[in-house]
Amino acid sequence: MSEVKEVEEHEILKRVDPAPWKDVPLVLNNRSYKWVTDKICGIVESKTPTWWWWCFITALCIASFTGMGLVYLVSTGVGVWGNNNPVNWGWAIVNFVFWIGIGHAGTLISAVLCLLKQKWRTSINRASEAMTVFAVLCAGIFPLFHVGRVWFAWWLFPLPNSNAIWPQFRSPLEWDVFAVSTYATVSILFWYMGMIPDMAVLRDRAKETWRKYFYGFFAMGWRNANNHWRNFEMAYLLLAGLSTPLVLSVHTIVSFDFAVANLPGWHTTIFPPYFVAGAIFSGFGMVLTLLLPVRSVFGLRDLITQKHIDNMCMITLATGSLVGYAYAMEFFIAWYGANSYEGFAFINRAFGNYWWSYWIMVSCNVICPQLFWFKKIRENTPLVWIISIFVNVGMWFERFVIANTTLSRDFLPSSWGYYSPTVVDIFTFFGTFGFFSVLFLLFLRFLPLMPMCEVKSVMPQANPHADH
Amino acid sequence: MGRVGQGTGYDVTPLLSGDSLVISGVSIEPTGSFEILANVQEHWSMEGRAIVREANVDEYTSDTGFASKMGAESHSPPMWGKDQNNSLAEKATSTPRGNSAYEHPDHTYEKSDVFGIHQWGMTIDLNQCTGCSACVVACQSENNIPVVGKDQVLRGREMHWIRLDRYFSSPTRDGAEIPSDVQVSFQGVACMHCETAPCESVCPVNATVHDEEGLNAMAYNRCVGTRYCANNCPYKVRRFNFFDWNKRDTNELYQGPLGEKNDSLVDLGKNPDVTVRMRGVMEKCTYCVQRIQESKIRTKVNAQNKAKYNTGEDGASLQLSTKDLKVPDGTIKTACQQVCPSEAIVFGDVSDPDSKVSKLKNNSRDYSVLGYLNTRPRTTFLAKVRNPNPKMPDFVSSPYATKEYHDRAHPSHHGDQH
Repeated sequence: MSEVKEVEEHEILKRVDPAPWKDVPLVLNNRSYKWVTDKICGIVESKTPTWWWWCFITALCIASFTGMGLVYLVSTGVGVWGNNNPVNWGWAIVNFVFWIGIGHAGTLISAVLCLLKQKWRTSINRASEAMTVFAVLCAGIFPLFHVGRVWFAWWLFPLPNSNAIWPQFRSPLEWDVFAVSTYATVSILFWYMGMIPDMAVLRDRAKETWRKYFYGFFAMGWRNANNHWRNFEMAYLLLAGLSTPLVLSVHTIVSFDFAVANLPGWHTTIFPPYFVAGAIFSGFGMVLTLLLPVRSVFGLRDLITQKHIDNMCMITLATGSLVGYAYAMEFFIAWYGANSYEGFAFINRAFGNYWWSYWIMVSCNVICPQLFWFKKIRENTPLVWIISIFVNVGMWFERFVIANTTLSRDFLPSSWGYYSPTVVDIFTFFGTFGFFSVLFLLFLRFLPLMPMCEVKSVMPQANPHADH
Repeated sequence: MGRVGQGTGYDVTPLLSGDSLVISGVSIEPTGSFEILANVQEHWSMEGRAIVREANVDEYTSDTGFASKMGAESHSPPMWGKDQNNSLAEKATSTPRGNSAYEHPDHTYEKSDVFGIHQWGMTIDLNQCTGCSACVVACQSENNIPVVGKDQVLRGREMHWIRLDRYFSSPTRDGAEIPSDVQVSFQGVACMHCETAPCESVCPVNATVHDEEGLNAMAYNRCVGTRYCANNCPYKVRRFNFFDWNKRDTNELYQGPLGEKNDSLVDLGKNPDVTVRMRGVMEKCTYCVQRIQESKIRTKVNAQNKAKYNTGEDGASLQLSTKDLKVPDGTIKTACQQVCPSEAIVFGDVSDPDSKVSKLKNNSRDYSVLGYLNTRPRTTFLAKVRNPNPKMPDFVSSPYATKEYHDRAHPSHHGDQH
């Protein structure tokens, strides 16, 4: 090793006497590696808590609403929903965009923040990725089942067939098929691959046979060898690089469902960036909604610290403000573009037949997150949780506003109508929260909810240059 | 009583007690109960949009092309760009791209099989339309369009392929108030068979495509029912089978497979030339494609017989010219056209400059609804000309709808024409 030369201190440093920069520790209370391992593995290894069973059974019951709703839908027809002629897409597409938007935070945290070397991501990325995967599964239900003949939905895949008919590659719905399935595949891969070393830890600590086999199978023969780690880190980096454009592309393409159509209020070029900002906004809202209770229930305050909450609140604030800017810009362009149909569409959004949904959207998405400017509010965890719920509600209403105000009043006033959901719409959507919760509870119970190896890598012990 | 009439209407025969049909000295009192009326059109105003274009006869004589000076397309670049002034037949058979920087292949029917020997089109003369709705009924009966019942109409799921839009306009316009002194404008709207159809490009499975004769075709058995086409149709003419309308009793739609099936006798009333659609698929006006096909086949058979008689040849050696295969103008009448008592609807081949429809499309009153979207609809409308008596007390110099349009399009001149 070559000798390190003493560099002469810069002149200015002598004069200004800079204060030493101290990073806020990402794991509090000087915890040891062993503590981290015991803490995370302990959640999985301990006896199933009673509250978990109650939550699981409740979630399962709620999930059955979706099941029953879909059975009724498929056996009877799309008419059991509230859709009608001007509003051919009702709640189903709203719910699809809502869930797929939530699915954006996980990959953003694990991929984009990884490439940007944001170390604070380590304690929240696993749970966020799980959230992403489950949200994408919930999202997938809606475009699949909203079609009139679900048994032919496979025609959207370019499979060779005897009729020699291909899907239509000009249709944004077709792009959705590829965008969403790619995103789901890469998210699952990324999530699983990151879990392999932790699976091996659980395998090695396992006492029951089933655990040995279960974690052993998914650990894929991980031996903690040097070349395993080298491959792991390279694969992680590659998948992060691969997922990063997907974070942007998925919601861009989802926004094309609207932007490529010619309807006033949909046909706008602002949609892709506006949708991506909204998706990240809603995703972080959901991460806060999920992780704040998890942090409290499992006593993870040393791992998910106030710094983490601060950062997530600030991203929510930033993306919420971006979304607010987009709302304002839509109005400006509608006026500036001087197209009377588009002008009407936006006035109608704010003051027309669905005015209430517009103002719910603005209050929840633009006004509410502004509270995160204040440190006092960011430090009030119950309040942060409540605001995160408002963010989720607001983002659902955003999609409702976009889809339904435009469809209900488009070009020819003769066709104008009004859309209201039916009981089946409501229960099918409500049930997906149960479905999501079932999956998330199973995740908490059986999988390591934090990447132990990555958390350890940001602890002071991992830094060879740190003061010991 | 049939399934359509059940539970509808009121019996007024008890009023006719006694011998006479005329009863005097009755009084009417409100009962306090309400009945919801099922209506296929809820919004009465045209909102100042240039949808039905109207003028008074004086305005028309001073400017016969008034219709082309309304709507967004009147102040946007011409739809066909540099090809704007090409003949109708040329536009219909070559799909000019205006000023597009890209070269496009020559699709004229002599050079490729993309264009057929006919190019179908339609005109609807708003001057002649009386709003009688005969077209709606004729279409329903010709095309096996299901009757969905009052409940489903209230939900906005009527299935009419052609509908009769009705707008009211009045001299006073104060927001949501329904005016009392109105002018009425009617407009029959069916699938416009756009040359650049917005519905076609969004269908993910290619279920709605253009055929070589300019029909916007709907392949029912390919449709999976995403309903994206219906959303993207600016004219909202596409209809979705939300239920198994044809299979299930109207009162048992929500029972699904547990509901009672329709009486099979009803099936005998269906037109055997038209597919009966199942639930989950989209449908819309076909320009009565079954009639078009029938006429084309008959014309071909006639041409073959004639050629056989004249030449004595048969089979593969028989030569038929394009001219012989062309269906003579006026042979095909769509169901709506056939019943129209005022002959407002004309259908025919727009690639034939001598056809009646081509001549009407060259009329100065001809315009496309929402033409600025560049959908290039094959169905165009002939603007309405009103001829009010100047001596009547309610005489106005310009139709209310036209005034409202001008007030909204040029707000700075608001009030000038009152």
